[in-house]
Amino acid sequence: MSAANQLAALIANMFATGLLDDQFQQLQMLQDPSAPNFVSEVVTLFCHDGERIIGELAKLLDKPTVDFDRVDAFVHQLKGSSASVGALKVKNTCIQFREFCQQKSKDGCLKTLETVRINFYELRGKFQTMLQIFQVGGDVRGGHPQLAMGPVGDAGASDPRLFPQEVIQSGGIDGAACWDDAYSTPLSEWRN
Amino acid sequence: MAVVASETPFHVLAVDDSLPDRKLIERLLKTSSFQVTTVDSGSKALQFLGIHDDDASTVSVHAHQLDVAVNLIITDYCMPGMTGYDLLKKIKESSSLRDIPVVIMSSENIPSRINRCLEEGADEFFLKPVRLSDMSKLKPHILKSRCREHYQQEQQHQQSDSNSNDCSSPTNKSSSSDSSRKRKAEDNEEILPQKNRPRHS
Repeated sequence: MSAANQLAALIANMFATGLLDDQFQQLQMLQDPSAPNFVSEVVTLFCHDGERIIGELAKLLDKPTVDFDRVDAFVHQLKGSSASVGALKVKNTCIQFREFCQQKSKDGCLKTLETVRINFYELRGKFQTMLQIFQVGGDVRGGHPQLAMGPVGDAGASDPRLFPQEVIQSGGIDGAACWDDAYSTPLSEWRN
Repeated sequence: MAVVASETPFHVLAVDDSLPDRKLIERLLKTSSFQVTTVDSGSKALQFLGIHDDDASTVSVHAHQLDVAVNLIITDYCMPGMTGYDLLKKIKESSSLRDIPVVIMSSENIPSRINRCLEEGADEFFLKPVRLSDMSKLKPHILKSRCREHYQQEQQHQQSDSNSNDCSSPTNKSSSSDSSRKRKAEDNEEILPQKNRPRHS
């Protein structure tokens, strides 16, 4: 299965399972030869930002007295950035989260933080796969009905997360273009 | 008579504390042929615009520095410290900046918030996430502001022969390229930051 098809299949799957919404298509459309790594860059920034925020939320909710305003402010940030990248599921969990903040329910917040964590890491895993495929030649514009480069392979047959093993063997990692200068974490450290 | 370098793209200053959002707005603006500077806070925006928080004094610059004229400011509403609304107010309080069109962005659709911003002088309010189709709304505000500015300059020139009150002297002294420089400077007759640092954080 070509990288292009793998990528298209992965992205299509993410849309189908409600992980992504049409805002992600907006990102795909903004990528072009003058900004060939745009989607990778935004996705990378989102993943770093999300991880940072979840860490802050965990700290804030760990305190005996919770500052719900601060918690809400962080959730608002995460909701905003997930909306910007089209991370539908994470965004919706953030909306629920904010309601618990407004109710000042520590229990509700803690439970929802867990859900956010799960959803975020699920998404991050798929984004990670996406970037790996992209780095070996897939076009991140695939998966969009109008933008996809070729016929989509049998998307239903295999778990997209199996792709990386094939992909990583076939090519090296050209990480330079995808990473913001501020973040030097090598891609390999994402593979938890 | 100097030829106006009219192909210079319009320059937008984008303000947002969220890194992914800054990346997005930068790309949206560049795709729409704007020159972009991004900053992550209202205070940095004011710094870039040559305004200090504590006073409304302006810094006059030499004519050649007018390349960093800002034609529009687009800012997020919810930011720590200085909100987009606070920034808007400061801009409108400044005699040199008040004519620069300001657009507010927010992820929350709160009518009272939107109205408050528009009443304070914001030209437009975008709901986030901002889309490519929103970009086409920006140029009309820039052009409207330029027309207004140009008209005001014409008025001033008619009233006083050589010196306009608000123009900084360096531009006035150069004769033939004077009007072309002013057209390029559009919104800001006097203040613009000395430093031309493109910030893409």
